Amino acid sequence: MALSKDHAVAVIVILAAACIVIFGRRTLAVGDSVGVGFTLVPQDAVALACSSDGSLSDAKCEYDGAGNPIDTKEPLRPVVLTSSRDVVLLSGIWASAGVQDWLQEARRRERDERVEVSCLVKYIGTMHDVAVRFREHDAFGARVRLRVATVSECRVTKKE
Amino acid sequence: MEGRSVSTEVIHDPSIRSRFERAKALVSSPAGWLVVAAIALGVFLRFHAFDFPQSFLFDEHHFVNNARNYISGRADQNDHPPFGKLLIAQSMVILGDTPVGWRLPSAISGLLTIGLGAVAAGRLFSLEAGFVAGALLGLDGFLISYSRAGLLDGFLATGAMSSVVLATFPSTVPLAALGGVLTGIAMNIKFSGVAVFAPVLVNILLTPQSNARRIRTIAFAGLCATITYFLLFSYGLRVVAHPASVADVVAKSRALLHHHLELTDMKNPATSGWVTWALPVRPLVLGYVEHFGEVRALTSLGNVVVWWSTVSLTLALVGLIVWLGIGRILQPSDEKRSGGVRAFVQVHGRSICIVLSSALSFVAPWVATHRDSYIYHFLPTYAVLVLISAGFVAAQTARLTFAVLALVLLVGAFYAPVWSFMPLSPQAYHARLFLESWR
Repeated sequence: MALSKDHAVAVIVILAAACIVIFGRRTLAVGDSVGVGFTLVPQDAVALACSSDGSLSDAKCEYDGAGNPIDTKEPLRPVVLTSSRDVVLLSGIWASAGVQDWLQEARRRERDERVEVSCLVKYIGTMHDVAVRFREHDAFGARVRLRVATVSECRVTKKE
Repeated sequence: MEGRSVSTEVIHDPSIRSRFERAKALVSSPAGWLVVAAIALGVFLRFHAFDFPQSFLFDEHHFVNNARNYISGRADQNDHPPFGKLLIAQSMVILGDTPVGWRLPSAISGLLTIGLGAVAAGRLFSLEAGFVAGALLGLDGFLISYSRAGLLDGFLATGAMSSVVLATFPSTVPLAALGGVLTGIAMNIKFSGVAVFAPVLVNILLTPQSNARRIRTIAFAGLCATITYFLLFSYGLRVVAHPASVADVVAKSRALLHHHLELTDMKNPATSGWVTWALPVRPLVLGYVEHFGEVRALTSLGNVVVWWSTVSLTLALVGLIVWLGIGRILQPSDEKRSGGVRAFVQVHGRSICIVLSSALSFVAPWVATHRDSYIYHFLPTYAVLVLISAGFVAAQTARLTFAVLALVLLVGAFYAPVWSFMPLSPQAYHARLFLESWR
C-alpha cells in the first residue's frame, strides 16, 4: 500500500484528535480557582478540624498526625461540598469577611443557625494521610487523601 | 449515473467482488483512515465508563423501574407500549439489575444504527457515502448519548434506519411484510414508531407496478404491522398477568393515546418546540455529576459539524424539491455528477424522497399537534437525515470529503468528554456547552 502525503495528513489529524481527547479536557490543576458551596453552623468554628503531619504551601491542619495541636494561623478545615458530598480541606474560611461577619452576629445573638456559604477557592494540591472530624469532641476518622484549597473570598448566601 | 431508470436508481448491483475491492481501496485511502478513526472513537465513547453513574440517568427511572415490574410480574406504570421495556427487562434478566443491564440494549441498538446507516447510505447513494455515513453516525453525540442510556428513542432510530434499508430494495410482498413487522415493533416501543412505515410506503408507491398490486401490498404490510403490534402488546400484558385479548390491547392503547394527547402544557423545563431542534436550542444533559473542580457529564448535543450541515442541507433540499416539484426530481436525470445541491437532488431524487419520508414522518406528530415535545423526539429524524449528508459529502471532491471528515473527527474529539462522562474542568465543560440553554 503506497502512502501518500494525504495519508500523512490523515495521521496528523488522527493524532491531533487523540491529543484533544487526552489533553483537551483541562482537568483540575494546582492554581485553578473553583467555586464551592457548603453549609456551616457557628460551632463549626471550633468543631471542624483535621490531623496530619503534612503541609501544602504553608497550609497545615490544626493537629499533627498524633493529634497534638500545631501553632498555625489559618488551619485547614474539612467541609462537605453541597453539590457532590465531597470532603475538601479549606484554609481561611473563618478569615473571610463574609463568614466572619455572620459568625460574630450569630454569636452575639446566640443563634445556632445553619447557613449556606459560597466560596471561591484556589486549589493547591492533595494532602495524603489526613484524618478529619466534624464535631469538637469526636475522634479523628480514618486517614485518607483529600484535596486542599485556600479561600479567596466567601459569602453567606442563604440562611436556612 | 446517467440514464438510470427510476425503478432501479437505488439499486447498485456491481459484483460482490468488485464492491469488496472498492471497499478495501476506500478503507486504505486517507479519507478511509479518518472514517475508521471516527467510528473507532465513536464506539469507544459508547462504552467508556458505561456503568457510570450507578444511579439513573435522565428518564431511565421510567423504563428501568417498569422493566423491573415486568420481571416481577407487576403492572407497567409507564405511558408507552411494552416492547422497549421488555427489551430492557430481558437484558436485566441476563446481565442483572445493574447499569450495564439497563443500558446494553441501547448500546447494541446504537451500533446497529451505525451499521444499518452505512448500508442504507451505501445503497441509496454510493459506496463512499456508506463509509461517510458510518463516520457521521458513529461520532455524533446525539446518537452516542442515547446508546449509553436505558431510554427508548435509540430503538426508534434503529427502526427508522432499518426501514430505510428495506426501502432501498425494489418493493416485493415479502419485503413489504417485513416493513410491516418492523412498524408493528416500533409502534410497540412508542406510538410515534408508526413513522417507520413511511419509507416502506414510499417504496411501494415508487416501485413500477399496477395500482391494484400497490394497494394489495400496502394493505398486506399494514396487516402485518397491526398483527405484530397486537401480538407484542398482548405478550406484554400477559407477562404481568393482565387480560390480553384484542379488545384489551385496543382499550389499553386508547387509554395511552388519550393520555399522550392531553400532555400539551410544555411546562417541563426539558421541553423544546420542534422548530428549535434545528439549532438545537435545548439539548438535554442526560447526566451530570460534579466533584471538586471537576464535572462528569453526558449531553445529547450532537456533533455540531454534522448537525448544522445536516439541518442546512435538509432545508436546502426541501426548498429545492418544493421549487422543482416531486415529479421532476423523480425523473431519470442526465445531470452529470457534480457537487451542487441541485445536481444531487436530480441524481438521487428517489433516494432523497425515501429518506425525507422517514424524517418528516417522525417529526410530523410534533408539528401537527401541541403535544409536549423534547429533543429526543428528533433522534430518528436526525439519524436518517445524516444519510443525506453522507451522500452529499461523498459526492464532493475527494479533498472536500477529506476536509469534512477531518473536521467531524476533530470536533468529535473536542466533545468526547461530554459524550462519555470523562472528567473535565467546569471551564472546559462550559467551553463545550457554550450556550446557557445547552447546560
